[in-house]
Amino acid sequence: MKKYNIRTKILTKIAYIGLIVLVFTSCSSYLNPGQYRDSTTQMIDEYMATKGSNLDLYLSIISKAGLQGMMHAYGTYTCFAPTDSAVNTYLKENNLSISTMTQAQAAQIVKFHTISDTIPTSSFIDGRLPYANMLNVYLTTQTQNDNSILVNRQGILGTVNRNIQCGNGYIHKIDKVLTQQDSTVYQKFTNLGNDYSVMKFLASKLDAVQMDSLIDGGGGFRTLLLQNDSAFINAGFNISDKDAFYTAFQAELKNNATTTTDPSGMLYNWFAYHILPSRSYITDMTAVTTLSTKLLNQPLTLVYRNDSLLVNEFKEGELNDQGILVNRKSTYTDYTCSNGVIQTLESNLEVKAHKPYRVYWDICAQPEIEANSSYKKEGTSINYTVSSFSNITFGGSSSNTLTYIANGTSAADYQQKWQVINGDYMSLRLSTSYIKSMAMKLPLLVAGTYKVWVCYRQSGSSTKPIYVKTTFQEDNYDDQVLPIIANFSDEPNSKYTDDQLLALGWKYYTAKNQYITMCSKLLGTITVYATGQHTLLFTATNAAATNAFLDEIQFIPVDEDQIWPRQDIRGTLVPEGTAASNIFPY
Amino acid sequence: MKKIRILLVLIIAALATSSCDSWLNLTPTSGVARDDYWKTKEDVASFTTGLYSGLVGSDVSLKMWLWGEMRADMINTGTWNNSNLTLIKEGEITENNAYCNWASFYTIINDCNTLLKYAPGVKNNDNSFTQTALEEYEAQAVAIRSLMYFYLIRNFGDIPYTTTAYTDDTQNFDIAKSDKDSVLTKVISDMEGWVEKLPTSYSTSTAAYNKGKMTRYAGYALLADMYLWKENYQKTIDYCDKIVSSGQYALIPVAKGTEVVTDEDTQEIDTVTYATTAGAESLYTNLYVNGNSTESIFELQFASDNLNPFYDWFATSPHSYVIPNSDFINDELFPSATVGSSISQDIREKICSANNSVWKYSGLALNDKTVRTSTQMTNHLIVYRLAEIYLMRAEAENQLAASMTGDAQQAEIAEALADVDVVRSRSNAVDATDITRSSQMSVSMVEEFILEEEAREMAFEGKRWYDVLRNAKRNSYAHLHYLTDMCIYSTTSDKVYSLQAKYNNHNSHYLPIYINDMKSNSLLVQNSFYADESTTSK
Repeated sequence: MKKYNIRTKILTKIAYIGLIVLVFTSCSSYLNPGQYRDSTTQMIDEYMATKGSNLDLYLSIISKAGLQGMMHAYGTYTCFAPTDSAVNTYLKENNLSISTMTQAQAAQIVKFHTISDTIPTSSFIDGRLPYANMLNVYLTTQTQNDNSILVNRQGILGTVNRNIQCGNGYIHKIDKVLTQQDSTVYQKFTNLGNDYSVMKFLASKLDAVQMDSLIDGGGGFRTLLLQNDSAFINAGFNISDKDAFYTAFQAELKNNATTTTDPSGMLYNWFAYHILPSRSYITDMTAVTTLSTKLLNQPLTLVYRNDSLLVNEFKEGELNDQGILVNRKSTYTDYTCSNGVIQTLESNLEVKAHKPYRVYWDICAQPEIEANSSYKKEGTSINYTVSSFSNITFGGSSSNTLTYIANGTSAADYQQKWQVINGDYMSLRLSTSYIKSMAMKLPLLVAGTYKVWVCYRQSGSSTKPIYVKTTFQEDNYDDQVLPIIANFSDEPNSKYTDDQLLALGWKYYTAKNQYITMCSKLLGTITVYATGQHTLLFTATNAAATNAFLDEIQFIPVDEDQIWPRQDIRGTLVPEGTAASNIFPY
Repeated sequence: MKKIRILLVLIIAALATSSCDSWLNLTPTSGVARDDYWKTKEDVASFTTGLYSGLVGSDVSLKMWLWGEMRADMINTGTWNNSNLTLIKEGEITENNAYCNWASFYTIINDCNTLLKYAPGVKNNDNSFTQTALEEYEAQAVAIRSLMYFYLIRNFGDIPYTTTAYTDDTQNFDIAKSDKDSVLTKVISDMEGWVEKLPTSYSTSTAAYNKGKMTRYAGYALLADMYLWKENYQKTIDYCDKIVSSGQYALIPVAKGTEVVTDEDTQEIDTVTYATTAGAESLYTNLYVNGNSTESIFELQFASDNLNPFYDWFATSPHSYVIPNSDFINDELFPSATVGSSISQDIREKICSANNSVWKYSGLALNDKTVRTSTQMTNHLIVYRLAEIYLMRAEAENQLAASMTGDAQQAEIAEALADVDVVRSRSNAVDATDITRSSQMSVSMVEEFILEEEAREMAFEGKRWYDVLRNAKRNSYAHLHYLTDMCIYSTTSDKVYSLQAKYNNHNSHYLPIYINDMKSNSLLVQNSFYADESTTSK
């Protein structure tokens, strides 16, 4: 018994010891130091704190601002960090020192230099940065000839010491402290130099308080479009004699006046047309097609083509207005002020009252189709998925397809029963069971009232016709549903004359000769309230089984001839009374 | 007993030590050590073959094409993301960009130098190795080395130049850069010293040998190109003349037909020439699909066991690295003919770009839409062909005319235009792209015309960037606008202004040296456009 007890005791002791040993050995494998490693990537503040980074003074401003914690935590920042010599120069110029600076002042500096997103220099363009800094001001960048970058028109970012990647963002070292532009747009305007004498002269004709409130009034941001003296010369004015110029200028304004002919009223409107109630840098202007101005209901239209940005280019129909170039290299391009931006134009911008004019819109003039090398070439038949079009939104499955077919526009390609304009048409099944709708972005329509005609080649049978309802949609206004349901399987009766057809809501739109399959149906009348590019929506209303062949949509002002001019297969307008031998194909 | 034991031990010791000897004498089992090589003329022959197979290596052959197109306006990036290419197209080139790596070119240069060092010694070993045969091999090594240096000069500017072979670790591999003009002069004089030693033909029966190896005419073509880069126009003309008058090369003919059409606008009756479909197809098939045609002077030979590296670049369009820039091609290069446009077109339009793909490399036939599969990428990369020789000669003649006046000048310009017309008429170029002929042609207008024609003829063959840069830098950058105008098409619209600003600094026209070389070679100084001298931390 005794032996047994001792043995048990010893065994239990051994068991306990064994257990403890096991615990330690198994634990230690979890804490094997070789499998854990601390990241050596520095955070922004750690990089600034390293010896030789040349950013110690800026780091002390950051800690004065109480923002060192932010620069140490994980995040995505881009810091334009001024070097020590830059900070010293700034402090000396402004009689400041880091120790006497208040926290708010320091925070203001740091937040102006920091952007809450990562932007490497490869994403810089000549203009504003993609994101604003923490004070909601956009910094601008401009590449210099030696590949360095001028930031905010103040500091140079060299070719080395950029894109310094830290754990929470990028650092770009610059050689000056960036400061906010204090002047407002109006203050800057009053301080413009002699290059802008004409515009300042015009401003002097109005009350200064009125001008101040026009330019600086209202909350938010604004953009001022300046015209320097050579812009007025480009527009054909003689500016040597100010009074003679003013008379000529007023005459010009009167010519195009829409609402008032009172001289100071017109001048006020002219200035209002040069002010946009938005913050529009060049980057913003190239991305849109219209911008509203401070003149009610008078937007600007913008076209960006081959690196030229043009304002108010009107080249549709009989009008050939060249448009005004926005100057991208002047001193006052993308010029940031405290409450907005200043841009420069190269000619005289004024409101031009355009009479509504007819628009014959070939549906196949879509950028995706035009980019194809077989565009309009005979024998082309290309399938597109409905999702490939940027200017048309289709309803129904996104994998639905439509076909672009081109017959060619030469004399040999002409077929009486298929004389589609530009030799091409779109074949698609508009049906409640396939492509349910198509919302098309229209070309520019001037404000006015129009009759809408859809021109198509008859297809399908009368047993399962293709019915489509049309709606005209304009932003900020109610949709206008057109009264006539189009039937793309229908065609007019050949016994009727043009006038009889017109009374029935039909017409022929082809010039060479007229055949019932090439017909056009009146859908209704629309009112376009503001000039611009609006939307026309086709909605299928029954389950058609065949494809519709769509050629063109025509918008003809209500007071104009609805039938003439017609078009030949090359799209050329043919006026009434042209002899048949003078209509292509001859 | 003891004696026997001692004897046994001694015998075993003797045996053991003798076998240890051979245990410690190791020769490589999978290669040939240099001591065993360079013994017979067959060794030299196979080493030369090795030089050519280095040229068709995927990195070198890709860059021989890519460097000539990536910064120019004929290609756009496709939908397959290639971040290095995108950065280059945007003008954001840094030393980290893998396409700036010249290592594979210097490997070939070193191989050429190696042959030049060791081949003469083979004559001592092999009595059947004649001096002429030796010089043939040496000339080929010099020619390939010159070709490599010419690519490097055009892309990097100042480069390290060496004719020493680096064969073991005891040598110092670090060489500093030399000025690009002096390197070009040296390379040209190397080439002139050896070009006459290149044979005019390697085989009377197999065209591949005469197009895949550097014949004397390929050497002439390289010399003409180098002299044109150096702005020595008379020499360019002389070498081009030698090629054209050799009787060895001819432009592939394209059968034409004529048809009488009525001009749609003016109602006039006109005779219009058009290229037959069969003619255009035969040009495409002979020149680009089969290769080694009568027009080609030097081509990189790819085959089914050594495919070209272009599948990912072209054939998977639009999901490829590169697609043709249709804005530039359709608007600027190939506008439609005015009269009889439905039949009379420039055949090069469809040849170079079709189905949204660079058709010269992706297609198997001109009018067939079938794209090459990854195992069918056997088409050759044409380095020089006769059409380019005509255009080089025209460019040189026009520049020579600039130093003349009056009738002599107009006569020289007329010769230049005659050369361009040979190329244009073969492809049925349309009037819309022709220059107005008069008795008072201006040199600069003809220069622009020739540059455009080079774009049309040599589309996508890896020449565009060099053509534009050569014309822009002529006469100390008298016409920098060729480069800045090209920006509109060569880069994305928001980068145009910054790229134009960069091009004002002429150092930006060259690529930076790749970072691996900067780190390993202490004597290399980076191109000043890509490094801020004052804050460089090295």
